[in-house]
Amino acid sequence: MIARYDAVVRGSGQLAAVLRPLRAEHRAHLAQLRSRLIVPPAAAARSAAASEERSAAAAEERSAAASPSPAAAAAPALDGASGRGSSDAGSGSASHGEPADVPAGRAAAISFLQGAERAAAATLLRKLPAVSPSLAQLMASVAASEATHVAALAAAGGTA
Amino acid sequence: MARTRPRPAAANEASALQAALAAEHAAVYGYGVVGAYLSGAALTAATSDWVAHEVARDSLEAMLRSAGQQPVAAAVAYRLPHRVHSSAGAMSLAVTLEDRVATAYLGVVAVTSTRIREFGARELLATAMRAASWRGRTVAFPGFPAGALHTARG
Repeated sequence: MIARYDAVVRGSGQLAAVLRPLRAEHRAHLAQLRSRLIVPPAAAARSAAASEERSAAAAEERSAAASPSPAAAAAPALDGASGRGSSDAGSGSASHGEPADVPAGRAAAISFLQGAERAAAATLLRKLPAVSPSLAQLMASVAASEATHVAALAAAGGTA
Repeated sequence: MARTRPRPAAANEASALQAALAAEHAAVYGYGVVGAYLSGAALTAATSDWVAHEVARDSLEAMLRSAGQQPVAAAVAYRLPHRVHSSAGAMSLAVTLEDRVATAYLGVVAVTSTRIREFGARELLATAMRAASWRGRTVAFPGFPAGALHTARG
């Protein structure tokens, strides 16, 4: 999601002020979901390396804030997957690498984000039965936030 | 004569549903106050939200009854979180009501029953939408009290 927002802002700077608060919320989602990543037992011996990876990921996120283009590429999979590593969670072709091409025009770009928000929320809700109570609470809350983003984007010129 | 104890999960489910029902009762009462200070489109929205809370209340009562539980009754009156003298105050009350309902539904989401968990998630989403509409902006973690989760900024 973060990568998608970055891509839209790159294509239409006029939307930056509208999109920045929503993107910030996605960053908060990502931070919370990442904090609940479960390290498989086999990886326990590599905890030091994992720790380094997390540090690197955090550094990537910091750089993403300053320079949006490359660093957020990993975000959709993590955001949508809720720390479970599912490849379908990022809603569509943006699970790996750059997000799909952003359609031209303000309304189309906003609709693009609305579709991504809906898909991400739906993915989280589908996963609810299989996760722990505390993770279910977080995922449901994130899905609810994403649903409110759809309405916020509609107010910015998308479709209701 | 042996007594049968309710299974712990069922007790937790009932407790979460009762808490959500209590929050819905308060919201139904509170929206009566909200609507009294609004007009036009805002009143229409408040009326719609009031009905939504009545529907959710009825659903919760039915779920509790089907589980053999006596639904918690509404209070005769509720102390409002703040005095309302204007449309702005009414909208602020609506936000508070929705936030409290959202927090109650987070408790419902934490139960192990898939059916009840999904119901809680749906209602959390609905109340988050209403809260965002009244608040005029979104929040990162609907249902979680402010500060309960560290929020990143960027």
